[in-house]
Amino acid sequence: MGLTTGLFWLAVAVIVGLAAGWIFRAAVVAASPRPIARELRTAPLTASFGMLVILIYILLAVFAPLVAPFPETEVVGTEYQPWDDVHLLGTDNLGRDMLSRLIYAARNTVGIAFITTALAFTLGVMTGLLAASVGGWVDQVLSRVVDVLMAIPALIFALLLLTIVGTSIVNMILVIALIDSTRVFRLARAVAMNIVVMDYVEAARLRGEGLLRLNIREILPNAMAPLVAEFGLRFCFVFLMISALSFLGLGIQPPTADWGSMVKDNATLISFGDITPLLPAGAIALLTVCVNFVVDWQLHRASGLKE
Amino acid sequence: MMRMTRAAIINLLASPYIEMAQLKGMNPMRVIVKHALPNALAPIINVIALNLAYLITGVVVVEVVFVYPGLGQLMVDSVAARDMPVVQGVALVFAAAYVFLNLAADVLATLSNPRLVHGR
Repeated sequence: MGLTTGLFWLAVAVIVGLAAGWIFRAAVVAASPRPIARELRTAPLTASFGMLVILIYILLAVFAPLVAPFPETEVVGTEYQPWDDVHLLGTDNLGRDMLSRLIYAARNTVGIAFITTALAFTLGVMTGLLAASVGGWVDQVLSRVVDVLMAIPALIFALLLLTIVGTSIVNMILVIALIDSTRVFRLARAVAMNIVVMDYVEAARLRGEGLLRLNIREILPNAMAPLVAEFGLRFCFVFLMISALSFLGLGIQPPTADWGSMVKDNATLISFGDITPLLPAGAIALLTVCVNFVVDWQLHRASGLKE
Repeated sequence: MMRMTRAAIINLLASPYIEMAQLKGMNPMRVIVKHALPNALAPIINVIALNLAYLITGVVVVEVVFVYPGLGQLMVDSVAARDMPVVQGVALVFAAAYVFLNLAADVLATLSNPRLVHGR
């Protein structure tokens, strides 16, 4: 395939994506009640495309058993079967249907990554804002604890903790969330430090607002933009971390499908010019781009920028 | 880091003082560098510190793959040779790098905001 053909298909993909975004936005605007519709109409095409793709991923994940043509872990053919009518994307290194595993993996990988990131942010932002708004010894204790946790390299620390508490999906979520929340804590604290000294926070303190209300109503909304941007990035890092842990045998265990290990299992096909093993990687990349599209839109909305 | 800088700056671009600077007729580059950037520095400094610390401790794999004689290579070699004091020493350097960079980020972030420097 020459460069011009490649560019042509790229252009077609972009146009189809934007058109899908436009149709999706129109449909959602028509279907939702008035206040939500007004917000949604301002969404740029990239953001509506992002929301469309995320919605598709969620639907696939929820209805995986109905959509997937074959069960997740059953061997249904010979190894490395090429694409055909029965197995639309061929079979993997053990003869399991590639398309079905791709769909089931959306459930495991995306679900786990999202829960982990959300947990890490809840924990990190809460402690970060607390440290910045209370200050004094609370700040010192929290910051030094985070220093200690961060001084140990993330992957090694994750391996250590998983060895101690035992390998299971719940434990993995908690461990990665704990490690990532230290990074979020640093950022949230740095952003909040600048906001705590503002006059309106002092005014809120003088009116007698409690610590919780002060943090949630005054500081958090103004710290939102950098945190939202960080959320988009953290999500990708969590993906990588889960893949790395799965690779080392401590993450999602083998019979369960996840995109990271699917790439690893079928990597040998790449040297034969087959793009099948790249599909899970492409699924990760597409989701990442779409999450960042939506995050960008939210960022613009949060900042109140007009153009 | 680029995304973080972008987010921090965009968050400020809607503020009244940025509009004021634009209405004064300043060129856009100067508005961003002189008016927006100083107020966006704290999160940017922290992200830079995190990335630097990651670069120091995270190069172990790269150094081993490309046989570059650095700290990471030294650590892996010492682990293979069961040379405990050296492993402990390297681990200490890595940990110290994180703590020191965090401290530096805190100090710089405080310095970037006059309200924090001259506390009440």
